[in-house]
Amino acid sequence: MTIASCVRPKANSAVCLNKKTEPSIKDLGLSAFEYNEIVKRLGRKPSELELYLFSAMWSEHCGYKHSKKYLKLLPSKGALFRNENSGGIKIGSHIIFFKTESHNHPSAVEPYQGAATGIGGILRDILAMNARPIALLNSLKFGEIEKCGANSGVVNTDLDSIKRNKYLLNGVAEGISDYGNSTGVPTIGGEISFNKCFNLSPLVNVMAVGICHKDKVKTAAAKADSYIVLIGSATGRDGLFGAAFASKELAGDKEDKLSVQIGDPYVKKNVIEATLEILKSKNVFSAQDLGAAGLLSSTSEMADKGGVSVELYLEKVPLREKNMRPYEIMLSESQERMVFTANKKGVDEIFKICKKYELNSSVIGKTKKGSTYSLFLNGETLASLDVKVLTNPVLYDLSPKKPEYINKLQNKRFLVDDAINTPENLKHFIFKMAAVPEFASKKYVYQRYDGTVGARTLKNPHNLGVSPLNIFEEGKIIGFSMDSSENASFLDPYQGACNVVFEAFRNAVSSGFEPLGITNCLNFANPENPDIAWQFIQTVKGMRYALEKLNIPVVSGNVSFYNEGIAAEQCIFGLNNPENIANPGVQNGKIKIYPVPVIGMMSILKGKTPLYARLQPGASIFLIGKDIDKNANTGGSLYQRVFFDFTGGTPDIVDFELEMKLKKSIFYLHNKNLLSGTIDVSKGGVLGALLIMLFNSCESDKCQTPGFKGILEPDIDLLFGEITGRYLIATKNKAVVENYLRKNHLPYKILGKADDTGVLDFGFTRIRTSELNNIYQNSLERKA
Amino acid sequence: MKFRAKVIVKLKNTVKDAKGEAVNVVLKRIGLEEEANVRIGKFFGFEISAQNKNEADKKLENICTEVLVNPVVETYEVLSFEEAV
Amino acid sequence: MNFLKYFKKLKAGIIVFPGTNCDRDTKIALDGAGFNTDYIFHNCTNLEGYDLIVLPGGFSFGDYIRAGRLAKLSPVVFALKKYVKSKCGFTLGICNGFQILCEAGLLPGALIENASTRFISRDEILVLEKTREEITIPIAHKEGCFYADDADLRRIEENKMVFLRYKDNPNGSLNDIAGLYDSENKVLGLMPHPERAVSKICGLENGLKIFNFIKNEIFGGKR
Repeated sequence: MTIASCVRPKANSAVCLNKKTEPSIKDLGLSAFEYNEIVKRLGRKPSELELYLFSAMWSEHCGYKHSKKYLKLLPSKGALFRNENSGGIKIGSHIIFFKTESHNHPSAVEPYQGAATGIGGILRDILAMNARPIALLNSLKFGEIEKCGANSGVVNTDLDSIKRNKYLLNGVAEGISDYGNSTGVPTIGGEISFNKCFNLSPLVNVMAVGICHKDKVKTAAAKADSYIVLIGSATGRDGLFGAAFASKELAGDKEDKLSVQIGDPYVKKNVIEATLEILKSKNVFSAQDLGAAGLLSSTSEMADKGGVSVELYLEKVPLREKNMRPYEIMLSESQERMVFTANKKGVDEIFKICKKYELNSSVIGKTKKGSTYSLFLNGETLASLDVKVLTNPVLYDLSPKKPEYINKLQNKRFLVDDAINTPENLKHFIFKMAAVPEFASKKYVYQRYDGTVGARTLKNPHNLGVSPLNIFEEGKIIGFSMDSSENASFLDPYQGACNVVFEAFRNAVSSGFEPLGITNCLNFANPENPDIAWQFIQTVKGMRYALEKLNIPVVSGNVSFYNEGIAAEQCIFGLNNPENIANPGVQNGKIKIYPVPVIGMMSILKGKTPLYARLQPGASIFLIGKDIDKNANTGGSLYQRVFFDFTGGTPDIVDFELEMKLKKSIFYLHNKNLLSGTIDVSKGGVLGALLIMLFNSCESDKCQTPGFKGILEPDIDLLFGEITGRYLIATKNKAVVENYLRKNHLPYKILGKADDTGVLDFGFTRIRTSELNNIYQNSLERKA
Repeated sequence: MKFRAKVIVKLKNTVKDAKGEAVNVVLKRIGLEEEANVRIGKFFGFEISAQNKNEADKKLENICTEVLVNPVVETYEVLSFEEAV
Repeated sequence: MNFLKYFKKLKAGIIVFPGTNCDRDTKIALDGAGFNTDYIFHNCTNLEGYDLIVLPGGFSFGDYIRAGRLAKLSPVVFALKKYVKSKCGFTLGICNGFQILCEAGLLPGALIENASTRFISRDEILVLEKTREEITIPIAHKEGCFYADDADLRRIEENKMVFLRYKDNPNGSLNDIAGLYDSENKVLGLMPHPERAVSKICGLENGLKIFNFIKNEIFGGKR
């Protein structure tokens, strides 16, 4: 049995689209407890339509019912508009809005449309603030596209899965390319990784950045006695139950395809231009995008935030399909739609602008004083609910329990056999590392994204730790990065989350940027499971610790739960073996993703120019920061997993004082013009960092001859092991830099010198740069 | 009268069909067909209102040449053109 | 040479179709190059009074059917044909603009899908045909492979209509053609994006050379 042919035992897709019978509460994703709570708060039984409304608004996706209590723990000082569609950070007289969103479940079913509409959704969130979208980033995670290690783990990646993972990778890349490029928003960066825990549940997290003058921001709050205008595409049945869909576990049921929305980048581009033109008007008061739970969630939030009543007249909604039922109109997730509230004059202005861009526009309702949410169809009242009841679902406390696997895996040690550390073996591993999809160049994917439209992108953005954007309005350069580390998070969710924040921090520092704030996307399996609940809470706490230390806020965010799927039987070994039950990622026949907190960080350039991760001939290369030795905690390192299929040990612990000292020195040395290149040491360890610097130099100068001469210790863990608090810096003023480091008591090691011999001489082995670079640049294309 | 048209637009044989060739390579690689000579086209289905078949034919030709096809690189083929019932 | 024009700012019009997305970038670049620049929406029917008309990049009408196909049916393109025919000024099409100019028959040949069938976004080294100078400018397109039949290709080369060639052909364009004149040297199509390379801060300024060159062309400079 393959994954695609797995059939879900409980048919959630049968939410009575065709059947005449009334949906059961459970089919709609509401618990008996929740139903009783609705009856209690309303003082009566809800009608069938009202029940549908509750099922969407009280879903995890809209209501954040399992996460809200915990997200409050995260710091917010310095973040603006945090409770709106997107939060932001002030730069001079402008606000930079940025937010991440997940589109994991739709992308698992239909990667092209799933990824495309994920971008559509996050762009609308930015747009609703009256901000022009100026950049996109993405964090993509797939199951393995090649067999790794010995496959001795509990989950095996079979050939069908590999095929499917490749299909997902290419589909997602193409969807982002076609949709993002067409909307005219550059995709400037991101990350891609591969791990078998994503075999059934790929992750597609997208981030959008927008800019708006601080006096021109619009919010969702509606005023009383205004008109509600819907613009954009006509409403169809697409994406029906998307909100409920995102809140359920996935299996490859074909019927799930029905729930996927279809994107239209051309209409989206027109919606962007029309919206920005509409929101210039003083007669238009508020804006909301139509995302999860469509018209319902957008208009009820307008009412909730504005403290007003909303009346909608469903016959006024332009429809694309015939015989749509009221709940279908309310919950449809048809793409490329926005709602506005405006006075009479504003309505006329909206109509005129929409005509210019060949978009539908229609007055579909009114706001009034009060707090009632009511729906009408040709004068007949269909539903009438208290807004507060509708928009405030029951919030849950999680019941966490530390999973058994944690201690078990943490106590495992990766023992380096001396036989591994022969020069021959190590040379082989260097070649292998260059080819590993997770490490190799991602240009196969990134060249498909228009990275320069908007003319704000700096040259060679991929040679920087952050993706830089020119905010010419303020004469500033800001940077963005997306980071995550599922392996570290799996072994220790607290430390993993903390380390990811610092990883993003080091990306910024290595490029000469100062971190300002983050957006996050928290991807987990089913939080009702105590193990997952524990992972989630630990993650939030670890993130909080790091953010408080760095004194930066969470500006916006998103939580995606239920990222797990039912595995085909032969994909899982020893399921009934009690030894394996508590093992990585598999429980009750389900493959659960590792905990994946994705961080999108915004930073600002401190000096005059960014610091590129490149080498020039003649530059000496220093390793600065933490010293790695045989006792270091290198748990979660990429090489252990991809070379040996080993997951265990503990991730390294951040030394905050050292991190601050390193930042200060790098900024100081850069300011004195003493650095010719810098990179933080992360995936692939010291050797990985060194190779990336060399290959970047090959790519940007189209030169194949950079070389290196130095003595590296021939030990696989010292070469590839990953710990925190390290950078490579390159300088042509060796003596001055060395003197500075010594004076400031910064631990350092001189690795060697860059040259133009075209040969990498590590002491224990010699490799032709061009040969290795060729593998690094083209490996992903060959494997995908 | 209403007529229903089915038209295929494809690259001329002299123009390299990059997508088609990519499919050829895959078909060969997986052993399904050695020389498939795939050519990829676009299908258009649409309706035309006209007083009679003659007028409809004229309209169809205009739609194809003015809107659907770039004569430098493409040709078209009318698969069917019949009165809608 | 018309010296009066040196004292008066040149007037440039940027045509905006629904789906055009490089209009604002192009305006910044043209303003920086010393033009007085307006946006012209695609329903405009008169282009008189402009020294330069630019069709910027993007996905006009979603590039549905094929790139530039639906845009060529907009009123402004009919006005553009008149503008070109009566030699009112110079016309520049960038990326999607180049595709539209080919679709509208204002430039020979056509642009078809890249040989890789994928979108390509990267900095590209190009060679200016006239001076043999190499300049690096970003490209970003999926349908940028230039095609013309043998007769047209011969005519293009014989009449020296090529403006720019790729050094390392990224998309399969015939004769490495990246930029092309019409036979009158009054219409220019470019696949690369010079407007994305006019900022010192961003590290690319080569685009300015192209805009200055065009300015010179408008002043009647000979190629």
